[in-house]
Amino acid sequence: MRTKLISLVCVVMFVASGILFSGSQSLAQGSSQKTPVKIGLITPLSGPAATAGGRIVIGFKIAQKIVNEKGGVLEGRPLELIVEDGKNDPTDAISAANKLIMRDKVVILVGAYHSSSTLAIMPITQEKKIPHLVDISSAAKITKMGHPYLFRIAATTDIEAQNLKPFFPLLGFKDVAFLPANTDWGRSIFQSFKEALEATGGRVVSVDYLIQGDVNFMAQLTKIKNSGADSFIVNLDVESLSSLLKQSSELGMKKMNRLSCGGSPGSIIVKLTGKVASEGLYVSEPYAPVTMAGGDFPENRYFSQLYQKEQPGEYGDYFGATGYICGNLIGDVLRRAKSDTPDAIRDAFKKTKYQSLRGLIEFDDYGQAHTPYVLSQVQLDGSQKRLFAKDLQKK
Amino acid sequence: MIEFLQQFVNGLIIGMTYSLVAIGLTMTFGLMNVINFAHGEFYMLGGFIAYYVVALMNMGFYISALIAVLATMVGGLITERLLIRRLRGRDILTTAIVTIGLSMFLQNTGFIIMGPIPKSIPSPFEPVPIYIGQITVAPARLLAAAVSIIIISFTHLAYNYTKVGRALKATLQDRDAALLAGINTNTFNMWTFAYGSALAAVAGVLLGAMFVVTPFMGEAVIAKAWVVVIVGGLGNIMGAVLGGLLLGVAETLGAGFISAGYKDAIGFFIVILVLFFKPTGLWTKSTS
Repeated sequence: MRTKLISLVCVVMFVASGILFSGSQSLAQGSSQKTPVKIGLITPLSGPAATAGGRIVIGFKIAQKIVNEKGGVLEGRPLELIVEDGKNDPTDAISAANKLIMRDKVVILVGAYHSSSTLAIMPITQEKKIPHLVDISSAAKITKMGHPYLFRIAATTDIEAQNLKPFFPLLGFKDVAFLPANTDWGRSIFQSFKEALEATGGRVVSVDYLIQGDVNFMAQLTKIKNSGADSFIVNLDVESLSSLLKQSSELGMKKMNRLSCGGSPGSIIVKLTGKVASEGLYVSEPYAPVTMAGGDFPENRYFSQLYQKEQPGEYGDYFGATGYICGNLIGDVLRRAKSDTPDAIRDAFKKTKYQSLRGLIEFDDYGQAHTPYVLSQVQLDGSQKRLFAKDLQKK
Repeated sequence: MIEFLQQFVNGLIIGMTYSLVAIGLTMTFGLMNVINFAHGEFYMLGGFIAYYVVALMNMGFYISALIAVLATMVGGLITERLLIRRLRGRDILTTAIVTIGLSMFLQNTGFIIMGPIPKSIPSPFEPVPIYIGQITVAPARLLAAAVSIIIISFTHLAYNYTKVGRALKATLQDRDAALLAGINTNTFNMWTFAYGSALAAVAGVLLGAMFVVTPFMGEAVIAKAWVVVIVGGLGNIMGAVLGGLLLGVAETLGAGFISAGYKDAIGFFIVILVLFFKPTGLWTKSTS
């Protein structure tokens, strides 16, 4: 009896989990008679990046609603979004891409979050001639592989380093210790930043690659403290980063210039690190949320209101904004393409001049958009204040 | 010299928390012959429960810490009674697999509750330095050191000088003889397991306030704890204490003066040396 009961419970749970976590969700909106234009999105909906993926979907749906309410695209056809869970795994991303292209016949594919997943699906979108919009992945080589249908709105490490270059002499980054993550991302950051720093007369004192997920960095920080460096630049996942920042404060290193780069959102850093340890920290990130003083682009506040309506209590961060930008950008591109053939869409992408939440999006010959990174400093009360090179020069 | 002393002090303090986690691991192995892969999750539970008690119920840090440790101890009692005891006499691998399953269950349940964003336990101390000469120590680390010293001393005294401790020692040395002498090994197992879990939870609260709490924080710590247990000798409580200190100091000095990239490798290097030259553990008298 008991065994039967247990197996029954197991079966019920199994079926329920299948229903709850089924990867594919069709999110058609608007009840237009015309056949919808299908857009595929591959993003993590399970695993550690699930929250980020979920926010991209929310942002995308807000934009989709706006596009469809304004009369859709291609003579009144609504946008239909089909989301697939790419997990944190290139293999899953590949099967998702195949499914979206072969079975759903999407006309544009967006994704797939992690650089390794994006690189894995690029041969498929290139072979099938599916316009591929890269939303988050920042590995530099993605736009250097000659994919004619690929366009990227995520900024690369080179762009970030160029944005920060004027700030290095102004803020006094001279003898700099680097603490990059021991990944392709971290190594790419170190290369880009080293060039920018040396061009401004700065010097690399040391570089210690850190393991993502580690939390005890006392040894590396003690070394830096005694090395004579005046600044350190770190890029890490938020979890490890907050431990590192707390420990730098414990060691009395707040007098040094501390810069977090690579895109960890400042608001989450402050929340985890606390006001005392994060005060004075410089944060470089690809999006200025409304909570950042002096940071917002014009459309930012409007987007934040829309986002709060969907998710009460949340103001919309980089991920939500990215989904929102993708949806609106696709609406803009399709309206100008006037056809859903790959070549028409590609040509329309090339001629894009779209004013987004992160600045003007225009694609260069490699399909790369050059939206800026913003630099802010954490204040005493834990808020972020955006910094502008012009203001600093006046001082 | 200042840098060396600073690194040494940092290493000692982190080493003490390694010892706290390793004591429970070595006790359950020595006493019950159980390789407890879920031990890291009891460490996680300490930080996890403390976070939720502080953040949601708005209780003070010390009360929350106490609640977290007691709750984890109860968790340990339940685990022993419902899971480990039923596997008595089974192959050591069978219990190991069951504890791996328990570990996955606890990690993923934690993940469902907490989500992917790590949390920080509001600590009563700000992360500011206290200067002792030219060496800096943060208040949270001083607390961690003080609590660790008290608990380790208590464990040492209880183990060597009380009736319960001596009975535990007897059971560790020879289970059958202990049974014949009238020691109730069932009760012993249960409370030893719970005590070990509670020590792991103490470490979880202390480190959770210094670092961050995540459902997967036990994974990194359990790897270190195994290093400590092997270096100190399986089942040797004072060996675990000394092994923890050794690992903490060796790791920190290695990362500071050789290369940070080898930090985690240093522990395993020590294990290889120990297994090669003194496989019973550094502080175990040779039994042969």
